[in-house]
Amino acid sequence: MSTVESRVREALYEDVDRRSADDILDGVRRGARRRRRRGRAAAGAMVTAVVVTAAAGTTIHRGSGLDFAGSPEAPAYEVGATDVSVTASGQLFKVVSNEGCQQPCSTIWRQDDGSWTRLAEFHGTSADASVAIVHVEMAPDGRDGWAWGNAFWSTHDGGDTWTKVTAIPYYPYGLDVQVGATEAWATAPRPTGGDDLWHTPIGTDDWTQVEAPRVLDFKTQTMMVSRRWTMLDVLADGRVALQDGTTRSIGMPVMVGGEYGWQKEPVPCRKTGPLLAGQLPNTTICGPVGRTLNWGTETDAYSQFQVGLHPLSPTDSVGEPDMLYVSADQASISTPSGAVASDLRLGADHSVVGWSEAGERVAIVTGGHRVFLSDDNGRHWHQD
Amino acid sequence: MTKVSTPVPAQDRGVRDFDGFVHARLSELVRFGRALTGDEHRGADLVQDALERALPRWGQISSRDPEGYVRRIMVNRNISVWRSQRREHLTDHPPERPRVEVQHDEEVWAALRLLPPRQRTVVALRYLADQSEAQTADLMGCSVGTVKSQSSAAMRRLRELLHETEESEDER
Repeated sequence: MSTVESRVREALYEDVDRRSADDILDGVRRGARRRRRRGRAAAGAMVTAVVVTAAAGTTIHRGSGLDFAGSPEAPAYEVGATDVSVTASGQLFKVVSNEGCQQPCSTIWRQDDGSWTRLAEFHGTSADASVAIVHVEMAPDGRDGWAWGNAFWSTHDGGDTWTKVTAIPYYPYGLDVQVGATEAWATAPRPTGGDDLWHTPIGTDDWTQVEAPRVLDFKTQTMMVSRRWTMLDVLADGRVALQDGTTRSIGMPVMVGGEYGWQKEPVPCRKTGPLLAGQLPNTTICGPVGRTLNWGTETDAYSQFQVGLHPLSPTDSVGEPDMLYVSADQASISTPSGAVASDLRLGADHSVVGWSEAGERVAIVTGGHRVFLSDDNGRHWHQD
Repeated sequence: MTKVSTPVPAQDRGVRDFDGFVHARLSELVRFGRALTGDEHRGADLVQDALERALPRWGQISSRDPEGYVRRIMVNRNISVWRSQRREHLTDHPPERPRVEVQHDEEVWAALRLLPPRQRTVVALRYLADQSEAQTADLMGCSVGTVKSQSSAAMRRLRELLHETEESEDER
């Protein structure tokens, strides 16, 4: 074999970015559903209109249920927790799918002082293997929150009552909601394709649309409005951080702003330090690869979960040694030495599909739909 | 560096379910996508596109050779996408790209990116997926002779680009 052939073969076999299989799967499912919907759009339009009309304005009270839609197909349903939300007020909310209700279904639970209260039950459509409600995101006060899956619901009384949100034209399976201190933000797909940006003050469902930022197209180098957005974070000052979601390229700029305009933020880079030494030695990570978590060197504990970028402040961006890498494509939550946090006893169930933190309290949901909690910034964990 | 040669049939790995398949084979599929497109992120997009198309048929293909099926979609999609974007400008200076800076032979990758897509596809199938000439021809929907000529042209071009004066012309 010639030198060129050897070099080509070596290059082709080079390691690839450790991207999250869960993220890919999420994108695949959304894309597959869009394709399927396009195929049946004409026939389904009238049915959808009837269903939405019938369900609009419906309120679910604690312990009650609602049939949202139905279909004769019978897929296999995954059972267990799908999301958690920890509040600054000390409560923990979780979504549990297909357990203790007529499948496909979801229930939302709230934990106060260690005991769980079942708040509401939602029913889904069996035309899709997804369940009724998958995600929940509560405001720090624990009173206001949003849950979504095949429909979009809100509560303003701590989860006792859930009301369908109609202010946003809802198109299932693409919504993302993140709640900051004063506002909630949503990226909502529209039926014609693409995402719209919405926000509302905490405490109401006064959702208003915000003009989307313009970004530099990765391929053509022209200014464009993204068709899809990845919402990275709601910052402490209330602004939201977005990245173009039409490509998985992490070279795309991060846009930070809101109703008063947008600005491009530099994509921060950081050395992985000792934490990824066993996985990505001598690596500089730029942009939202995987999910990061702060390791507090002074407190000797995990301090914060984040999705995507952390931190956005350029001053903290390079050489950050205290990042904790959460679940790329294979594992896990690593300590700075590179080991899986032993208290979690995750075993093979080591991917993280949902997480939330407030103060000292951290909660995660694994790919195996188990909930793990820490009350001391991740120093010790126990399974719910 | 982890080397993976011929794709392992999914049924042998106990990954009949879609999630398990993606978790188990994602890195190899992205590596293959990178080889087809010359760019890791476009390669990842190609993987996602192929998986979206495979998912609705998973019940039928999962018991056979799902990875082969997904790879075939990737090959076809990459070539068809290229056909629709023939005016794509090839450059040695791609726009802002990022990222995870691992040890790459950038000289080789720059040369690979300058190959026409069909030649790059032949290189990917022959040198990464370890497909025979006949298998490559089948996947690409062309003759074995075309595969040989494309492979020969690709390696000749790579030698020129990499400034190698090779005595050996054997190209497997």
